[in-house]
Amino acid sequence: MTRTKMRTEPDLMKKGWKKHTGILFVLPWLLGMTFFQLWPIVHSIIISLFDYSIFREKEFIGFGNFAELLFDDDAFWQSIKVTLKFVFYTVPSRIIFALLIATILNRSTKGIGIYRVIYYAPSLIGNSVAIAIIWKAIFDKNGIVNLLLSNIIHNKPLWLGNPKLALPTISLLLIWQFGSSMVIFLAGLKQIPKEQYEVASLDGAGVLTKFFKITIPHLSPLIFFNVLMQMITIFQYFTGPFVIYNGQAGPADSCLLLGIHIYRSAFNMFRLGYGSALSIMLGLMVGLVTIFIFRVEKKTVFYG
Amino acid sequence: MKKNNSVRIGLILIALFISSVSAFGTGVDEAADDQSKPVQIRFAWWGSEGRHDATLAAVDRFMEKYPSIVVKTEPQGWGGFHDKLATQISTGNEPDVFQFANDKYMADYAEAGMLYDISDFIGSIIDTDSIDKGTLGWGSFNGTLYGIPTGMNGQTLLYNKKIFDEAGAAYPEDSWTWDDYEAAGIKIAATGKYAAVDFSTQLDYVSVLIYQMGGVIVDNNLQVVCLKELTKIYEMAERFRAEGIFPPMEETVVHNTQQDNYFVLGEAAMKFDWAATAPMFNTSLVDGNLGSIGIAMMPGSSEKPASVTSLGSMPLLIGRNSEHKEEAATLINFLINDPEAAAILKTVRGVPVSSKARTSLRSNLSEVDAMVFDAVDKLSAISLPAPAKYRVTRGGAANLGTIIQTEGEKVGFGQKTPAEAAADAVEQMQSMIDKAN
Amino acid sequence: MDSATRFNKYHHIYLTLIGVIMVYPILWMVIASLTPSHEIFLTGRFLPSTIQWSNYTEALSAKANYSLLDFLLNTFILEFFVISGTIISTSLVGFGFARVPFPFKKILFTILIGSLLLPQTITLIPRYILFSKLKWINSYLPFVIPSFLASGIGGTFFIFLVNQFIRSIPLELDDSAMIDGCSRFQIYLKIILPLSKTVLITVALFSFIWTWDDFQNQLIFINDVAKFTISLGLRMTIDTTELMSWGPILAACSIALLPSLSVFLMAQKYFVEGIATTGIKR
Repeated sequence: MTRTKMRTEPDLMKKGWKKHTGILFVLPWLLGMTFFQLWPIVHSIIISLFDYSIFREKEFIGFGNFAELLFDDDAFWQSIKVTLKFVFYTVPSRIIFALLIATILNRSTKGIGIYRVIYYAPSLIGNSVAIAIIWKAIFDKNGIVNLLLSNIIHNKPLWLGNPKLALPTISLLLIWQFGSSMVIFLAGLKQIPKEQYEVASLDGAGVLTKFFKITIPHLSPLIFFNVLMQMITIFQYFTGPFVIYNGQAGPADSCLLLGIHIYRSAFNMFRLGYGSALSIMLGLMVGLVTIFIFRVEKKTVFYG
Repeated sequence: MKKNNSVRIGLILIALFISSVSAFGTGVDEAADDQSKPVQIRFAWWGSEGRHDATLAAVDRFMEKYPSIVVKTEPQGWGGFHDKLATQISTGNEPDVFQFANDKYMADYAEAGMLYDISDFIGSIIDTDSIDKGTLGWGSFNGTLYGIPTGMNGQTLLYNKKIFDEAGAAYPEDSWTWDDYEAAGIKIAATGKYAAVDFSTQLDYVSVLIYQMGGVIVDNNLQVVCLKELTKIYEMAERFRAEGIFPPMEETVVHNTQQDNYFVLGEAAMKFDWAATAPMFNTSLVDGNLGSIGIAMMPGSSEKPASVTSLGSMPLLIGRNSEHKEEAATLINFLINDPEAAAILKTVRGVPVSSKARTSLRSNLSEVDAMVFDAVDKLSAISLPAPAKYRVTRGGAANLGTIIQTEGEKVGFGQKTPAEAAADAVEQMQSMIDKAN
Repeated sequence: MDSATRFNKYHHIYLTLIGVIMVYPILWMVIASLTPSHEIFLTGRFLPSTIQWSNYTEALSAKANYSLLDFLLNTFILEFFVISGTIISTSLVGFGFARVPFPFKKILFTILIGSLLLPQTITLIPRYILFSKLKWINSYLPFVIPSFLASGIGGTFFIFLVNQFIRSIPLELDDSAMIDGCSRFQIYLKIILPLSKTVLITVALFSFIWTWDDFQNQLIFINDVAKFTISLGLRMTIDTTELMSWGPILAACSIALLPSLSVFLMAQKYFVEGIATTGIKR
């Protein structure tokens, strides 16, 4: 068992307040956390109770903003629909892809380095403006995707122009970036004792049984971790649709993610109070889903 | 001994930190506090590369003539320009001189007290004698003059001569009715090209059409009153899409900006746009061997006096928080009145408002520029002069535009009927205006 | 082992196929960036008729005072300060959590982990107002100052990473230094820091990439074209009121991606191991 404490603790031998100077090490984080994370959360709640616009004086309106977004804002409900759909398309697909590819790569004893590089690279550059522009070009009516598919499909789908196809196409942009999860799963897979598989094989277990009875349970903490972190990130996604549609939200608002609605309310319409109320709704939703995921974790995750 | 090292390192880190912080300055300029240094002013505008190049050249000439003034230029794209401007004004940081979209934002900004009354400088530094009063009126709101328009401009029908030739259709005429437009459209659609860019989702064109029909989007009581007109426009667009005159909405939505649309790509024969954009489109079409431009009045213009289709556009304003208002006024006067400026700027902002500038340019115009001049002349003849009636929007033009666009798209995707979409659009716009006031 | 070899042959084929699809967008971008603009769409050819280097010269040329090179330079300057601040602060804080006793440590560590779950969007508007009051808008301060306080992009994650790493350094080293009379800070500086090179390189690399791509924050806090980063500058190329020439735009994209891709290719080991350690049971 590795030690975590030192043999001599000169600090603790000092008198009075000097004992606690260790906290200075984390002082930067304490300051940063207070000013840039804790206080903003509190402030956000405060602002959301105001009509806070760049054009007028602040005015306290209590829950007015919340009433508005619940009862008087079609765009809000549209954004909820769109965001939930988006998370639902993206997160499971990414995790599944990552799992599958990681499992396959894990079997090989050599030469996976290059695959790892190729699959992981999109994760690093995928969130950039450049890739969003590329996506717009590739999925254009006359773009390379339709060109390559022209032997199979005979009309050219408008991936980004059709309100039914636009959101999945953008979801694809994020699914393409499954590499980071894959790498985590690969590392996790390496930790599973090989004997377990061998014993199972001897018992006559097939590939699928081994996968579901050994691999998945062992990876479940990582799967849980990935699902959680990705859900939180993807709930707030912004860059893709914003760049592809030039600040608009896709055909007939089909890509109006909540992050974009918040940005528009706060920075195009200058309604900072309303934007804060929307942000809080986002936070609440993320919180609810987080709790749900934790509940599921209690029942399904196996810490061996 | 060891303690000293730690302290030293700590001090170095702190020093590094402080110096890195100070290396970053804020947006506020530190120049020109010193009396002996030239005065520095900031000048911001939006436009395309052509306008940028011309304006930069004109500013260079200005600085040669007025060596005590240094102009820091801030050329930008249209996207986000006014958002940024509003933010800057609210933090007291706006440029000394800035171009402004009076048709969209004048009412809002003026009533919020964000603009500066420029009339002090009229007659003293800024000469407005050679500017037609009607045009000058476009720089004011409710009787107060805030800026000097830089160009006379208006919505016109731009057309691609090559596509018309290939379809064997006659070029658009100023006397065209909407029936003529539709007939020509069907003829062109038969050849496989689209006849026009869908105008039903863009605020600029929708608003002009509403005026043509005798209505207005928002009246003086801040009521949205364009339900009838908007319904007609959505219905017209739906019909045109069915007839192949407009492309399907799926294609329009990904090619619906001024720089990326079927007209400039040579896929559609006609487009509504500001007369002053004609040279830019012409260059693009000619370079790509896709055709060349003609300009006509919008269909229906000859049937009734168009409510307002010409305006003194893109006024230059002086920042309310500017600390060098006189120098700012000097720059404005130069750009508007000086014949050298006119010779450099030509028609990048439309037809020059100063009659002196116009006269000096007339003789040396390129073919396209001459077309722009002619178009604006015609527009002036048929439009009403009173800007007070021309209230495009209120409560945030960009956002009314977004509503009109989204609802128009829904019609295009078959999600709503034109009547439903127009009703929803009106309701949302009213709601938005109510909240903003 | 027999089934393993059988796996490898078929699976190599699948993996290669998928790999090609994964890489294709980048490949297409590079090829298209060297294609004359009017050939990029519509034509059924995979390779350009001529190699259009002029797309790159056009992309790099100055438009109205500023060029891509200015934006690249701006971004590198921003990165320099952000990475410096991140390394200094996260190593300090990570060391603090890993080695130093202080009051409320357990609670604070829980808060640290908990803050990973905080949706950053909630802090966007308040931070904007805060920076607005401090007059830091339109500068790089909204990025640099937080990075010195371990609150930049990915800050919490980095603290965690450093913490994990330092825990794996044997305590004997600390002990002997302490016996020699070193203060904690000297242990940090002279012993732990040098040994932490790998994790700090990982922190620097991730910080570089994530800041490079941080579009939304840059969009809100930077207004002056003179200070635009590469993300903002790139977006301007599709946002100007001028005809879009796809050739130069794609060339610009390639240029914008070059630093990230190069950094990744040269240092993949650090990326992969860095990500992998987050999965190791905490």
